[in-house]
Order: sequence, then structure tokens, then C-alpha cells
Amino acid sequence: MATNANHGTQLEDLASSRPPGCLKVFIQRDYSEGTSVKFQAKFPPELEGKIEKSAFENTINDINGMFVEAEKMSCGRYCEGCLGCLTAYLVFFCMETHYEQMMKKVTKYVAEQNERVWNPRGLLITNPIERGLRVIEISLLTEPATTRSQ
Amino acid sequence: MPSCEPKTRFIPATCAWTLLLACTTLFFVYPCVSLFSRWGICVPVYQGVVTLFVVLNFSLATFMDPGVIPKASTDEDRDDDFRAPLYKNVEINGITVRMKWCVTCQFYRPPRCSHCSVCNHCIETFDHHCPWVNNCIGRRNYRYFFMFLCSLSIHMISIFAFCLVHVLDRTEHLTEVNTIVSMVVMGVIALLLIPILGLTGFHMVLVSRGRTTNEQVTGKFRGGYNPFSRGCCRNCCFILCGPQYPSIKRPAKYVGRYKFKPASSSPAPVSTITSQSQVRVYMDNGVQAPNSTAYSQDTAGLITQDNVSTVHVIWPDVHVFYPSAAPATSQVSLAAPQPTCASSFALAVRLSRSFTQ
Repeated sequence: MATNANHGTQLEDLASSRPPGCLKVFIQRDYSEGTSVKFQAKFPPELEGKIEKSAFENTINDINGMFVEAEKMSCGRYCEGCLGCLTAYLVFFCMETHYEQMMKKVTKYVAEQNERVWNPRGLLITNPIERGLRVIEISLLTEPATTRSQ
Repeated sequence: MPSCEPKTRFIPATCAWTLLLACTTLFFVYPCVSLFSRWGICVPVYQGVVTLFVVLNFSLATFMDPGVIPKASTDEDRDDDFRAPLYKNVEINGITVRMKWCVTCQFYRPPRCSHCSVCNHCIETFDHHCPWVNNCIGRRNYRYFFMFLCSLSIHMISIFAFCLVHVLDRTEHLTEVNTIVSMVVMGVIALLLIPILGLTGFHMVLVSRGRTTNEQVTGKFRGGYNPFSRGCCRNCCFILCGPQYPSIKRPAKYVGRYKFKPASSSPAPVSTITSQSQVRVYMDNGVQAPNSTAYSQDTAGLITQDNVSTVHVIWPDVHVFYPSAAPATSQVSLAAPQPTCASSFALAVRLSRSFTQ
């Protein structure tokens, strides 16, 4: 069946990019301010004792801040739109939009935070873009998936 | 799964492209030449710029990713499948909005998102599925769709006006090819102008009120307050020159260089399941003695589901056993009401009538 085949390819991707079979915590989106990208900075109980609350909040708030910056309306975005219009949108072939630049910044930040804060504690935070900007996935590398608390 | 045959899906879009290009070409080849000799270069230049703008916006609306949210991968919150309700409430700017579980995509649809049964994807800030562009209109391409409608209205009105001027100029030579072509083009435009102007007007109202066609047609905010509206002026600004959302269909574009390498970048001792023997033991536990697992008090369905999905992650080859919700998926998604261009046309006409009153 087609859907099963889809699952298959997704799994192969997963197997190559993520550590398999460990407990995962998902930080959900915070929609309280509309559809702009924002993640809940509520400390999940699963991470108790693994990482300091402040370190966790720091990372999430920084990521949220970058998305706020990406979605902010400003003169720069207006110029970007006008430039696109005037050049028959050809400029977007050779120029990255502000949002794309911010997205790369988030990727860089996540990689750096992983190296400095999360990996030494046996945790791994995944770039939200890999989950379609819906959730931030935190893998607890030291715990297998079976020891789920509930 | 597309709701209709792939071939029939392309018919409206092909018609739209053919009509647009044919009428524009006829105008440039016949009446425009004589208008050029009378009024100078400004007529073809002006009309050329408008045409370019129409074609560009049309192509972008057609070929751009409308804001597809990729389907959730199988290891994400499996246990939610059975315990979680179909709906989840979130509060947005003080208004409670219901988020529905998407059976196909396996996540709660974010606010304003809807599943398109034709494209079989969840689209962010879903407006409608437009058969004329053969694409969904969503967060990413709404701007181009709106610009297309506006520029198309201008394009049609100015071609009509030019043709009219040309015909009135040559009332004594009505049998000339130029004049006949002008009248044919005017006839086609006259037929299409009312619905297209209506649709453009309808979308102008939607943009200023910060709504989507989907929300308008299904009456989401009927008599209520729209939590997504930023005020008339800012709504227009946001659509016309807000941020340009990148496509999240292929995250590799942004992740590529910084990909996680377990060997080099995790210095901490990590005890993931690596050897095959460990996996076997774990699987045997799950299959033969389900009572020994932490899930003993739950239903049998949950046990198998969770066991298999866990094995899944560790052991990619066993994914065939996964009792996925897939068979039910397509029917469910098909049953969902989708506002199409047709309904928005009808609404547009109704709306434009109410304006004129």
C-alpha cells in the first residue's frame, strides 16, 4: 500500500538522521498570539533533573526570539517585497529572503546549543524545521523509549 | 489521493492559461498594432508590463508550494493516537479556537490550517483550493494569488478599453480583421469581467478583514471577533509586504550543513540501543509477555500499537506490521468540506451585489 511505502521512506530518513529508540519529549507550539511561530517555554517534567530550567528556557526563548524577528513587519520586508516586484521576482533566485536567513540562523543556533548545553547532558534538541515547525523534539539519549513515564 | 482523475484536474488550469494567452496575443497582434500607429509606443509598453505582471503572478500562484506542512513522522507522540480526543482547544488572543486532529498528517492542525483533499496535504492558513490555478491557495502563495486577481482585473479592463477605442475609431470599417478581432476579444472579456471583478472585490474585503475564504465560507467568525485580524491597515500591509515564508517541505535546505553526527558531536556517554541482541530481547518482551510492560493496565490495542511503533524506530525493517490509520485516512479527508473557486465565485457575486445596493 502506498501509505506504508511512505512510512518506509520516512523511517529510513529517521534512521539515518536521528538516534533511534530513545525517549523523546516534544515542545508544542504556543498559539496564544496567533499563527506566528512560537514554542511553549513551559518546562516539561520529563526533563526534571536532566537540565536546569533556566538553560531550557533560555534556548526556547532564543529560538522564539529568532522567529519573532523573522516574522516582524518592517521597512526591510517592505523593500524586499518591492524589490521582488520590480525585478519580476527574479531577485529571489539569487537572494535569500530575510526569513530564510533567520531559518539558517536558527539551525546554526540549535547546532551550537546542542554542542555547548544539551549534548553534554545527554540530550539532543532537534531543529523545529525538521518537524514542519510544529514541535521542537528533545531526545533523551540516555533513556530508551520504553521507560516512558506514563 | 486526488479526488478526481489527474487529467481532469488539469483541465480548468489549462483552459485558464489558454484563454489568457490567446486573448492577450490576439490583442497584441491585431488592435494593438493600429493603436500603436495612432497613440505611440506607450500603449504596447503599458500593456506589456501589465501582461508580464499577470503571467508572473499566475505562474507563482500555480507552481509555488502553498505552505504544505509535512506529515508527522511515525515516532511522534504515538500514545496520543488513542487517548487524545479529536479536538484540542487553544486560546488565541483570548478566543478559544478548536484544533482538529488530522488523521492523514497525524498532528493537530494548527489554527487556520486545513487539509486539502485534492492535494492531500495540510496547508497553512488555507484559503481555498483553486482549480483554475490547479493549486491550493495558502499562506505562501496568497499574496501572489491576490496580486494576480488585481492585475488580471486591470489587464482585462484596459484591454477592453483599448479595443473599445479601436472599434469606435473604425466604425466605418467594421469588416476589417482588426475590428472583428477587437470585438471578439471584447465579447470574451465582457463575459468574464463580472465574475473576476466580483472575486477580486471579495478577496479585497477578505484581505482588509484578515480572513481567509475558508473561514468566510464556513462562517467561522460569524457575528464574532476574528483573533487573527490586526486591524484593516495592518492586514493589507501584512498580505502585500509581510514576511515571505519559506517552504518547509524540504528541511534539508536549512539543516544540510549542520546535520547532527552522533559520533563526533556527542561527547557524553550515550546508551542507546545499538546491538541486535538487545533489540531482540526487547521485542520478545513486548510480544510474548505484554503484562510485564508498563502498559499492562491499558487496552490491548494500545499495547500492540505502542510496541510495534517502538520497534519501528529501532528496527526500520518491521514497519510493515505497523497498524497504521492509513486505510481510514483518505475517506475521512475526502469527506471534509472544501471551499473551491466555484463557491467563492458564488459568494463573490453575492457579495458584489450587496455592495452595489
